[in-house]
Amino acid sequence: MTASLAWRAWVPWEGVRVASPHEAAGAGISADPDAALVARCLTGDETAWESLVRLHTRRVYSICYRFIGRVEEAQDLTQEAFLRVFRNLRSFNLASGSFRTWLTRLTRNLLIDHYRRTKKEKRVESIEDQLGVLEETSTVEGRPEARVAGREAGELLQAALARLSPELREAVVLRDLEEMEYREIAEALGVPDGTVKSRISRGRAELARGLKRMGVVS
Amino acid sequence: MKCADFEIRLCEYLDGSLTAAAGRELEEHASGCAVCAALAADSKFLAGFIERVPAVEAPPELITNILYRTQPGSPAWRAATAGWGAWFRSLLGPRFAMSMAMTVLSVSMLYRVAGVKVRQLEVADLNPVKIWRTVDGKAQQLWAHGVKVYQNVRFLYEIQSQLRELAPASEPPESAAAPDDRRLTPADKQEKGP
Repeated sequence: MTASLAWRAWVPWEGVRVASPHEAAGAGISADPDAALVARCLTGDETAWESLVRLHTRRVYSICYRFIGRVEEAQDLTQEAFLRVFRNLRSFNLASGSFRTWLTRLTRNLLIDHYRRTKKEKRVESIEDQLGVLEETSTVEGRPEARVAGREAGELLQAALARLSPELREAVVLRDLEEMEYREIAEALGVPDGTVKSRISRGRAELARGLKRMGVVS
Repeated sequence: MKCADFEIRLCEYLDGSLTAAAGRELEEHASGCAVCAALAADSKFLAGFIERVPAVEAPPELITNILYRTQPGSPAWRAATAGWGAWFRSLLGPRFAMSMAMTVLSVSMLYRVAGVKVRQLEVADLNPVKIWRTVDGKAQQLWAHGVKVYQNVRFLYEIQSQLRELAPASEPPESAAAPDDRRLTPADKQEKGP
């Protein structure tokens, strides 16, 4: 995909200017590796947008999948997140955080909206979920050595994550699975660092207890 | 150290970013608190488990779909490029026109009911003194009207009260003549008795 003049003429973010990494560093803002790409997007560079999408799709999809646990919905929400980024790129402000944090916050808001929307459906499905977990549990316990790994470990983790409250789940997912910094998580969730750490500790403990109940051993 | 502090600092302890002294303080607390010791053990267990969990990979078609949906000419593209034009176009829609017409109609009816006469404004109408006199005159008229209504209602009430006071003397009580009165008088009882 190459940048075209016609596209450049109608670029939605044309005329909007963001600080370059140099300027950001001069203003005391930590250098954001994505800032240059965002700046290029704002000048109408189509390849920069493609690079941004390629760089962040896996992470956004992973957050969505770990939070929701369903492939189809995770894909839909990932697409929705990028469409929102596309529409609102001009409102991104480097001074208020990195692009990664901004994207995480946007994704998180979408996930919370989705969670609220599907809360009723989940109550109905909960019995089926429990049956599924019971089956999984018996499978793990039935094995002579229940030290699972790979895909099976991923599925067990997903089942245990589904039992966590949304606020603990998002904290654990962002820290332990997406390896974000505490400060970044705090910015994305809009809570103090201490609250983030507390939620992570409680979330980890609940998750571990859930996995142990499924018969997982260390 | 409180358990709430332990919860917060446990993250740093597991990351290895705590100083040796702070780490020892945390360990001492855990040795005397079963709840916090369990929290630390569970966190370590989870860290070991997560190492065995593979990273989630996005389906390859996902990137293609996102790029397709954001290409020039797509709905997302049109929405992003619309700007003020879309806002003005929404004003020309039938829904907005109908709402506007209903608002004008409602306001004009309210004016008519309130007795406001609409005519062409003149420069002299904008004179503050004139505006003040008009408002003052209207307020006094309204007050006088209110007082008059109050006095009339009071007068009527007084007449009604006096009429009610006179009524028992001139007419028999309604209950005495009521045909539905099922209570027996002493005379009736004597007639019906054996």
